[in-house]
Amino acid sequence: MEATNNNSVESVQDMTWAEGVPLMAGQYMMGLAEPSPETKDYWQGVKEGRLFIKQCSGCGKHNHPRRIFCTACNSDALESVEAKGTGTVYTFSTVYRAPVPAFEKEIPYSVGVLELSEGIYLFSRIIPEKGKEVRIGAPVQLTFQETGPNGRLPAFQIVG
Amino acid sequence: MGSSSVLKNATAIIGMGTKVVTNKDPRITSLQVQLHACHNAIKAAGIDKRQIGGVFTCRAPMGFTALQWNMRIVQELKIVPNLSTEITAHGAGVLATLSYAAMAVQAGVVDYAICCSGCTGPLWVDMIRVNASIESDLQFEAPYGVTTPALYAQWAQRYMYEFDVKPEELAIIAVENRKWALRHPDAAMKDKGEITVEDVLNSKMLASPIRMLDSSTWYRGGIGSAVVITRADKARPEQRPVYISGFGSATTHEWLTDRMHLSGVEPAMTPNLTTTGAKTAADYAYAMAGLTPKDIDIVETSVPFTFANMMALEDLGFCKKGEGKYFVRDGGISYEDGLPFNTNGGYLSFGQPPHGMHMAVEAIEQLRGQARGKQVKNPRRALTHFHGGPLATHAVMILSNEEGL
Repeated sequence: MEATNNNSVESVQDMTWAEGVPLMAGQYMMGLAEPSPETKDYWQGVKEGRLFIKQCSGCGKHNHPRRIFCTACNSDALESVEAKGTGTVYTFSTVYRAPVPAFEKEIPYSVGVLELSEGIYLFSRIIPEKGKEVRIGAPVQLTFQETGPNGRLPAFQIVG
Repeated sequence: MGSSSVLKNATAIIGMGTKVVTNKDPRITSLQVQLHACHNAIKAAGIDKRQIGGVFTCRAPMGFTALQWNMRIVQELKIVPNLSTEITAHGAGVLATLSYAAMAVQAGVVDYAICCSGCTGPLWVDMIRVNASIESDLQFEAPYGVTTPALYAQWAQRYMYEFDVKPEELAIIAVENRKWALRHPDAAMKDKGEITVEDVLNSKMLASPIRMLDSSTWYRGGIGSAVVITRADKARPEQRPVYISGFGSATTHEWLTDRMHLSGVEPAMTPNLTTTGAKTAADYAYAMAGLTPKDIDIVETSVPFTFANMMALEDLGFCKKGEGKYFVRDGGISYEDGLPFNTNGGYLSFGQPPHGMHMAVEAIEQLRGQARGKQVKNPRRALTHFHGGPLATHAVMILSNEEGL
């Protein structure tokens, strides 16, 4: 298959939901991503180096950035708010075999589920402290990192 | 035994057909492999294909994608069914086709239904790449470079952490599964010999804590499977009927991260990565059948990693949560004298044709006394568990070989 699209994160934001956007890893299409109305603020934040999640203006509960209705009170009055960028490692895996060649140069890298201070869970890259292993429960701090073919994405650095 | 539903054993599987293709055979598509299975099943049932009123298929196979897969099957079978749909719950949907068929015949809407599945994806596409894109959230997970093992590893890491499970305890499952596969003519690993716990622990790390031999092997080819279903009172002895005693399904999420945003509903009263929807699905199936795990003679599960097999043994009720390691370590699934578990070698050693009913086929063959591998002695009831996604969706079905059981 001929890769014809631009792989940068910018290109993701320029797309409308109806067009979708192929998520490319080098020549391989990983599938069709869905930059959609409810995640517009998240991807705009990524462009600016900020992490936006959702908060319910009805009950105040924080929600994952892709949520459309509040998981607690079922309201659709969700607003994008900037996350503190802190949390802990809930679980993780260190990847030794990349899905596609575009990720091979980063191996080994860790991916995992973070429990953010706001009480939501987010999947991300986890960067261990130098010479140390990732561990469950470790405190993390938001950073941004060049990731595979996808430009700068939110990542979390283990701190202390 | 508790009280059971009127659905218990009211439905019979009266014909089964399969088609096995390996990478040594001429390359055929998923459509071809399923059609061979369908025609074999109809022939085995001894009915006219025009008697079939219901067609229930798995979702479109990988590497041969088409919207509304059931339409392709119907078009080729040249029948005009009253009910026809694909059942879309990834791998669990494959087994759930039988549940929908059972409800259709019990409602009296149709007399005969056919359920089919099968995929020859590994002959056509790079399954490692394709699968990762199917099983992950393309906005929030895939961009980080996830593989299928890396997604499941999120469960494994947390499960091992919470219950202090050791890699050597998980490895026993791979060792025992392999022994069954060595006896089965269609198993991917049938010529690869026995393995030891040390072999598993020394195999290549794919995504910690999951190693190569903790993982299922992609079947180098594909298997099509189909069954014909009718009401038990219409089944004839020469059809070797196998009865559907109970079934249940449960879907908890589509993508891994969202499993953690589910709460207040079983099996996630609090968010966790240690109990799967298999528990809920099994609860429904046991209740319908009026049975308990003690009544089960054979267990076949489609989960693709050692840790997930251990979690399945717990969630399906064969031991308590967190005690899978003791159950396995103490010979609970011993090939020689334990609970017959994955009797064709399971996903780890029989291999994983991407989308197929072969674990149910194995259960049916065992119950008919027609196992092509090692025959379990006089089994009466088998429990099959199919799953899809990163432990996202689950279907459980209990089968028996006597209507009165």
